[in-house]
Amino acid sequence: MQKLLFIILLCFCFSTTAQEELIDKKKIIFIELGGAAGYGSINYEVLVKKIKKMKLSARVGLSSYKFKDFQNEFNPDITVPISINTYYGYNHHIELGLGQVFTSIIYADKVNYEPTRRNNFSTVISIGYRFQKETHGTIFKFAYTPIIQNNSILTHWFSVAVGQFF
Amino acid sequence: MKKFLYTLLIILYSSCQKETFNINNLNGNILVMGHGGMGVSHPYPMNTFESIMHCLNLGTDGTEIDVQMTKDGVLVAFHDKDLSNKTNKCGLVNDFYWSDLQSAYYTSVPYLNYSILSLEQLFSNIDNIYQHKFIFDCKLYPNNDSLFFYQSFINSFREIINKYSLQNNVYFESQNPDFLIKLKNDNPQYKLFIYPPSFETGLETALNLELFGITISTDKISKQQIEIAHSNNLFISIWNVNSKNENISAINKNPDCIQTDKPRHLVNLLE
Repeated sequence: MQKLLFIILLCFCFSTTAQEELIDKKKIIFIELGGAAGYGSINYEVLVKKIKKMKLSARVGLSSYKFKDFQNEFNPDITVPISINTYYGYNHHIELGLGQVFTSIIYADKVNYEPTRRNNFSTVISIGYRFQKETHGTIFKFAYTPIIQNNSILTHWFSVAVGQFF
Repeated sequence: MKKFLYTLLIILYSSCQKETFNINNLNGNILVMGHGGMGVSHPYPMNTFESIMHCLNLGTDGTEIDVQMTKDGVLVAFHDKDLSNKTNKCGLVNDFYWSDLQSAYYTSVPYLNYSILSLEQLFSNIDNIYQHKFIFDCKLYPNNDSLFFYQSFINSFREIINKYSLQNNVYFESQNPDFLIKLKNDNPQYKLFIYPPSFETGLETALNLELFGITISTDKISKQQIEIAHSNNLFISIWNVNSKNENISAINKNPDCIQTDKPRHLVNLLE
């Protein structure tokens, strides 16, 4: 179901409509505390479509829980959130997002107890508020961001983010 | 400009200078122990294999481990009374057989689904086990008759300690004097700590039961009280040391052992 919604949002993002306003590909860089990546992430977002007060953006982020494994060797955990966000409003927006998070986490192997990388995808939903001016400036947002870990365990989670729209 | 650079250099030099401590306790040095491994604030949940091994690989003397027992007598490392706060299971550890808990994992931090660990899994996978000390914080949460539970707990300890010949590497701590008496009766050589609500009750219990020492939160004991304990030949292990500043103030109290939430910093301080 989440994958279907994600695909529908992606189709919406890349389709063309008569109402579409031509825009430059506006960009946002922001830091998120909490949210899709767990404890926090740095993110790059592109505003891909604007239809009157409705905007659509695509975001990719990067994060890590730690850089060294339990043997004290450089072996970082990697978290990459990817999402599509749609938000409605003028300066003050209501935001809805859906995404997938790729995680590559180091665990002790269950047989030989050596550090082993385990890769997974999880689904993240975002419902919140975003302050963002129409052309450029500081952005601020907060959201309820439940995470469906490995597409089976629901974790209630939240996020706060600040960044720059340019 | 020159003055500014000179001042900056002095500040940098003084900040790089290693602190020195005058350690005067029963050990001659302070045992650096992790708190459930890497402590409460690390991404690794306390008492997981990953947390404990990371702590030991930093060069600590060892670690404290919270120990509970399953329905079939397997000792596992887990802190909370109920599994539901931090894992995908619900209930007491003692409600489950070990085979059921092998599918349990931590859910408190997204994506970090580490497994629950048994002492057998831990000890069978440490290469240089005799270089390390382990403090077992005995979490006694029985789901039925407590006397039978206590005896089963002690039997399980005896079995695993004998299997890995860990007699000289382990310490036990408990809030329950009756349990400590039973442990002492099982093996008078065990090093036992009372975990009291205050220093005064701890001192009284430790002296009456002829225990090895007292384990206590750092904010409930002063340097002078540690001196009193030492004059009675009682070891002091302190915990609730959860910041770098608290590591320093804990060292200055001269305990015999510090269970820290910042093990890397404490190792560097006492190197």
